Amino acid sequence: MMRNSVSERILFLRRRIAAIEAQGAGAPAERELASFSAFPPRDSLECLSQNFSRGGLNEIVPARPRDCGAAAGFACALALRASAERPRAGAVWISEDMAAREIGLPYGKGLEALGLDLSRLIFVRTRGPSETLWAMEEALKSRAAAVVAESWIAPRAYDLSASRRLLLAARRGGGSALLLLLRLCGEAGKLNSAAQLRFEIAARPPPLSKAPGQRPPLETPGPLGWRLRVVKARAGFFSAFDPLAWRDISFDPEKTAFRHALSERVPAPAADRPDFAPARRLG
Amino acid sequence: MFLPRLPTDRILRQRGGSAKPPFALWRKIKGAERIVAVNASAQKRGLFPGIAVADARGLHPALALEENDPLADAAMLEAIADWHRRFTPLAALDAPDGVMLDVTGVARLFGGEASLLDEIERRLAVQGFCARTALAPGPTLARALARFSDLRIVPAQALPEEIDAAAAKLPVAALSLPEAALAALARAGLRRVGDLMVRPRAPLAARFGEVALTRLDALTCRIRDPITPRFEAPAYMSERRFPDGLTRLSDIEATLERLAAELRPSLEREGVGARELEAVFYRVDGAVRRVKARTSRPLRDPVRIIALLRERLARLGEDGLDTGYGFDVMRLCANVVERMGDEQRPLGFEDDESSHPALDAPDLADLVDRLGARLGLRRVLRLYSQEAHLPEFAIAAIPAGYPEPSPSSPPDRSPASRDGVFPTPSRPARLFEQPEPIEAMASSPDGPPLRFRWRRALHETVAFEGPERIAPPWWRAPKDAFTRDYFNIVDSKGRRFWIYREGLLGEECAHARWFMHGLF
Repeated sequence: MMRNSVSERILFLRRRIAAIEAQGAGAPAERELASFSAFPPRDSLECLSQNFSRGGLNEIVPARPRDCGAAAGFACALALRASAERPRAGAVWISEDMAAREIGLPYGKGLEALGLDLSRLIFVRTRGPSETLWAMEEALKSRAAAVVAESWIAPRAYDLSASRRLLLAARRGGGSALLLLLRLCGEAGKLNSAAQLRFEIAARPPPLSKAPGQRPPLETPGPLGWRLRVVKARAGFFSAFDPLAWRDISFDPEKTAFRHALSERVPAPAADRPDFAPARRLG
Repeated sequence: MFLPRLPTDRILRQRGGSAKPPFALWRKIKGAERIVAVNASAQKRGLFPGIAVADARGLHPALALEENDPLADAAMLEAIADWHRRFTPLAALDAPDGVMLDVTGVARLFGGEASLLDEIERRLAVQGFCARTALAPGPTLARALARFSDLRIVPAQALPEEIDAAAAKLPVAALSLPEAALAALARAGLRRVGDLMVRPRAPLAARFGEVALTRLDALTCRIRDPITPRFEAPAYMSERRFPDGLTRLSDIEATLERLAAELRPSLEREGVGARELEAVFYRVDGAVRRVKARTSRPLRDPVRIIALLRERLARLGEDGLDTGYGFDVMRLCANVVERMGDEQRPLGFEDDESSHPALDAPDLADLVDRLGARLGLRRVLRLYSQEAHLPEFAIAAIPAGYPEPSPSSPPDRSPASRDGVFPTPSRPARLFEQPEPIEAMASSPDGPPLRFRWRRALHETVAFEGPERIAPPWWRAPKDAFTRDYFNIVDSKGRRFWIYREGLLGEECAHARWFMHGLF
């Protein structure tokens, strides 16, 4: 009897929350589904390169302090994907002063080479986490396609309500929010937030050399890639997809597509570097 | 407007209290300590400015004395002039003890000229200032009337004869001539301005100088004698007055909303939009607060203007704005305007991007304004490619509110021209503001580092690309800039770095130094 009433109350509360969410965004369920088609149960190559979380909040956490650079690179790749969908909506990049001290500032030439349109990019520098969160919310509300924020926010300051505000703003604006939590290295599992997806990112080690013990000859750098795992994903998505398995992916700026690094054939060393992602910047 | 007792009023006002003991200010003038200002009760007891301090003490032993502070007086006068802008936008300082107001066309709003003067005097008296006001067609005459006459008003439409009659009664001191000229006038037995007016002009000019005649003409309003306002009158403004002060932030915001709506038609009529907005709040007790907001493009939509000002107010907060007893006059000005085309709204407004691709553009400009209003304009940037070889100069970060810099090379984005372009070498996605020195060990003098230590961690190189040699611009010939060899390095954990070696060994330096410049 007791248990029954409790579960009824919970059911009631769930319905209430669902109703509130329905007010915030037209069809939350649909959007949620759309966001997960990025990493569907069958982690096949074409699915990875499908639509990536639209109108949602994604958190990116580096696995170790030294992977901050890699995490920032991954955030950049996701931002590229998001702004490739709505090329005219523009992107906002928010960089906190403390984060800039840690991993530097986004470099225009590099972003341009990856295919980001600088004329549709606004770069914001904030003094502290509260300003970062505010700027992020404002940017999402004004319908920017991608909002990247690099923050040195403490886990205590970034709580459920703060992340929920961001999520609602992202849903309303239809942009994708990418929050880089540099201070939470390795604590991705402990964080409690309203985000839809949370990635833990590490650098992807180069393939092992054939002759261990001996120093292998120096090679040329391969394509851009990361080792990642999805720590959190909302709504039944874990069933067929092992969340804690690390997987290697690489990024192709030409097609703004992610690929499985292992399924990829190792390319012959190119004599000349291919021209960088041309198509989108012409639009 | 003449403040005969500004210095003493300033100090007594700070002290408060209703009893007014005799009080005077002294200053060292030519080695002697002299009284420079006295208050009303001291004047009643026969003290006057110019008397020596010792004499004053002899006359009145209980006299309170304090040293004069001309700088504080000047600051006070400026504050008073600013406060006067609640009556008219054109207020000028008349140092050291007066304020000139251009009230052309303003008096009607306050129920006539006499009641305007009463209002000014009353409000100043409430604040503890003794003020004498006068109104005349010319500033010089008004100034003289306030100081030397009981006549308060010479109306703007007065005939020249009437003006002459008013001026004739004034003492010659009203001409504000140098001491020597005044002494010469006194010697000649000329005491009143009228005495000069009846005499032929040529001998007067010969004897007392051209300036005497110019002053005389200014006094009788025969020549225009403009005042120099402290602030330019804003081209577009709207204002509201309240019988009581507003204290709540929500009321203030609501008022601003109405002001913005009132500002719109005048901006529209001229076909301009505001680039710089200023909200001015006049507090009941005389303090003036200003809130400025600059925009990234001409603006006239009240909703956007309010959104912008709200950010500024939010940043200030209730304490920053310091409402105190409340604001009773609020004004919204467009200080800087720019031409702006009329906006045309589509009839069937669809919330669909594909059909209205241009709809996105105003969004971003709005965002820039809003972010800039709270974070500061220098923190909201746009990135522009520059023709420079050194990586840190190849991108210019310019505040998004400012216009785009003229491109150093004409942008050519057609695919045909891109084919011939030599592909750009790889650039990192992140760059450090300051390259960080690292310890590196290289296999050969111009080879890549085999291992290096950055931020106390050792990294082992497994793959590299480079070097890419970038020389400093020789035409600027900086002494401390060396050639850099950039390497794109991958360490054993797969992290990617952009490292450079500074200086050509043997040519530019003996020991090359290594720096970390970016991350991929």
